[in-house]
Amino acid sequence: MSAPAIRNDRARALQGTRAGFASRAIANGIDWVSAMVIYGSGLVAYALAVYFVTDHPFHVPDPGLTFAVSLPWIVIVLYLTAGWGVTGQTIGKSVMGLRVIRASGETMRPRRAFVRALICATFPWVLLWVIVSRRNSGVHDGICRTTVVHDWSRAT
Amino acid sequence: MGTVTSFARRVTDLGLGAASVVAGATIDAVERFVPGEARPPGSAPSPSLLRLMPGALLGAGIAAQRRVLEVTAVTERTAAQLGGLAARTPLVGATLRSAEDYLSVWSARGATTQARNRALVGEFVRRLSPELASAIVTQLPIESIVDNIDIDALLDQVDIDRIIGRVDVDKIVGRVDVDHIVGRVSIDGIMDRVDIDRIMDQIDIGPLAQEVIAEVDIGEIVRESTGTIGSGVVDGLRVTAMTIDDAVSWTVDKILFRKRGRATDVPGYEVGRDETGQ
Repeated sequence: MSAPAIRNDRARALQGTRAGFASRAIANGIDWVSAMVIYGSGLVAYALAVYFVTDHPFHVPDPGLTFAVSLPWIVIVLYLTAGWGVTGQTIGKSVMGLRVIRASGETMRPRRAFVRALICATFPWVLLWVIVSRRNSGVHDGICRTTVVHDWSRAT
Repeated sequence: MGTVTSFARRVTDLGLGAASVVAGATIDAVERFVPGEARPPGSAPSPSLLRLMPGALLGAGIAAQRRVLEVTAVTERTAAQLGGLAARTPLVGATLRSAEDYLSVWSARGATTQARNRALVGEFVRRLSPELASAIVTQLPIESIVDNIDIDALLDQVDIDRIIGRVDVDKIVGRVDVDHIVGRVSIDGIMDRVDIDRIMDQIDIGPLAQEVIAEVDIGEIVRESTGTIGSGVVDGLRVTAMTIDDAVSWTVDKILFRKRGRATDVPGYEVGRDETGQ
């Protein structure tokens, strides 16, 4: 697929370069909202299934403190792993025209994506290092040897 | 000129004019409907003796009229002198005045009767005229007359623009009761008379629909309508984020006293490369 026409000169010049903190933070925010929507949809789907299968009234379950923390975390890890490991893009990255790649410029693989997702889901503040990094890299980028670039070619 | 002489002059003028018209018309009719022998080609037409007759008769008539009028004038003048002389005579004058009074009475009676007769004749003519005109029109060969009329020539003389210019269309339209006309139109009646099925049978919908669909690129319409709006907003968000990226980096680098800009290039990456490629 060929790259779509980019009318903004600055945006066209930055294609393929490492993205800064603001772009990545916004993308992460969109991803967090997306993951929460998936998590909430899962709870509603579970409640509907219980409602239709059993005689209980419709009720969205309260998972309790432990599951209320662990289940969203699992959803985020799976969500990020799926996006980064397949296309290098989650919904947030796609909206912001970003792509996660290996530092060498090669495409991400699922295993590296999973490790990166674990780090990001557990320690989301590692992104702050991008602010001071000379290469716009977060802590997780340094550990996993990945980077995030501007790439509008396959973005939605 | 005396009364009698003037009357005589008008009568003779009328008679001479009528005679001249009748003579000319008679000669024209004879020459038109009873043609004579064909004139040899090349010979100059010469006025016939018959053609000279009306003019000669008119000249003679005028001369005779002048003589008659002279005699009449002398006679009338003499009679008037004798009448005036007699009227001044005592016995004869009284007799003449009595006779004049007697004649005046009878003249008045005659005038009254004549006025009634004229009214009667007028009424008769008034009633007869429509019947007569209708009878004449019935006998007229209308088709033959119409055939002989050059309609085009007549129309050429008609100034249509001037006629149209005098027509007040707004006034005419203002007098038209459109609601009344529309109210008399039965839509249901019209629709009942329309055979939709027969019309549809005659229309080959297939090729027509294919042609229309081929001309309408629905995908392009959807892409343009949604893509333009969506991509415009998203592009604006991305560019704004890029600007904030630059501002944050520039500020932090200044705080950290960095002299070189950030190393943002990724040499081994190609934008637009397929995600499965290495």
